[in-house]
Amino acid sequence: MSMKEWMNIDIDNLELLEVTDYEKARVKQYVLKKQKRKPIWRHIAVASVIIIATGFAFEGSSIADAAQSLINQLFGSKEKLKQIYPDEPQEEFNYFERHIEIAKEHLTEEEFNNYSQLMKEQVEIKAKLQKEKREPNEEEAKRLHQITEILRVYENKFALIEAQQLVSYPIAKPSYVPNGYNQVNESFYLAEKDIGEDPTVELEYSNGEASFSTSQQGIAQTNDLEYLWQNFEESESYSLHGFEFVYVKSEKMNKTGMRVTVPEKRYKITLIADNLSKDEMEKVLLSMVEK
Amino acid sequence: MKSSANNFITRLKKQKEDALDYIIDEYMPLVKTIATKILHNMKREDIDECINDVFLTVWQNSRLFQGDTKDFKKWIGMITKYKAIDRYRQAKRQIELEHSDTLLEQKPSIIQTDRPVLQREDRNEILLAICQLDDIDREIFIMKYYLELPNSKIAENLGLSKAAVDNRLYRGKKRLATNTKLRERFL
Repeated sequence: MSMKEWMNIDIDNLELLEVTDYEKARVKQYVLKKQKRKPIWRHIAVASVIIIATGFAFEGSSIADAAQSLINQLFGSKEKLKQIYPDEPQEEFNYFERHIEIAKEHLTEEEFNNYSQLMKEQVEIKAKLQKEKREPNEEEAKRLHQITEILRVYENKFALIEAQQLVSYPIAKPSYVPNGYNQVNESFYLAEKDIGEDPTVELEYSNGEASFSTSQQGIAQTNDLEYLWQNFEESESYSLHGFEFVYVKSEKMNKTGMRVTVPEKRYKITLIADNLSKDEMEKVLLSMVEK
Repeated sequence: MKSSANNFITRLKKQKEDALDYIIDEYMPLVKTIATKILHNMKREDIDECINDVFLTVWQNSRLFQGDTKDFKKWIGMITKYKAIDRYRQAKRQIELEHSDTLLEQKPSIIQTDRPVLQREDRNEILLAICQLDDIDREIFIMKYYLELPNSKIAENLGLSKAAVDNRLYRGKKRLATNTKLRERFL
């Protein structure tokens, strides 16, 4: 096909190729995985600065009162915030009180003051844009980006603590990592689709060429990983050191995977790798669960 | 609620996962066919990566789409076509570089160092903006910024005069520059 023919492809008259369920699953997995690069608390902090009076977790508690008071102090009334962020899903709002409280508790006074002032500035810019019904100009866009980056530095200081408060199982981090691999995502990511449930905590490691990720979640929980998991052609279940393991392998996808379940602590960890041996995956997972 | 032909665009803009399922079910055969046609002599992984990239772009930029189901098919078709062409060009350039024995010994010329290199984010931003142009302008911009053809070659391909291509590029740049992120690139 020449370039000219490429440019003139008539999309309404093509003989379409078949697509397998596996191919669909692979694309979905890819898109959802990329989507999760934003930790949930970051999303809330930037986009959902709204406090719902009936936050289920801390309703009526002194913590809720303290968070509410802090938020009123920083951002004005909650009604005002609702006007600024009218489209945000309600489930996310509950996290924000906790986020602010954890930030206050784990940052130094000076850090928290800076942090909260930056958030305040962010909300003020957003309110101005909404009032004037326009997109940010170059200067505003640059400042918003700058604020987001600084907030992220502060949030990394308490990300794991925050993640731990959001989940009902103990978060595990591998004490063994195969030679040459480093953690490439320093934050702990929670899938946005899990809002309202125990979030999934993901860690990603890479040696520059290949990578692997671990996803820790509640024992009965499913997430987008399942689409990928179901497409592994080979599967083997076995017990090791008193834990239930499942090893999976796919030549089509050129990936391997392993899942360990820890029933007494109500969680499971799924490891998906580009290029790790069964032994290496076992070592990584055992270093997470044997504590 | 599940996505259907009537509501998938709205649900996609709201980032509902069932809308992602819907577009993969409905449009992946089209995306795969276009990508395979253009990248037929490349590796299977290249085609797969191109398909992944198309759906990620659509998912992340769905808020920019305006139109109905028919327009959506055209939109995703365009994104696929240009992403595949872009990938083909990049792969071809890479092969040329690898096969050039003398390249490492040469210092880059002024032309080479001045050539605008579009980063991945820029390419996406420009692609989505270009999709809003009319057919001829769109092709001109793709040839200019994705295929990096000289204006005279673009004119020849489209059966236009070089002056007409120059004019359309000038007007198109002005139009695209209403987007703040693209202003710096084009003006």
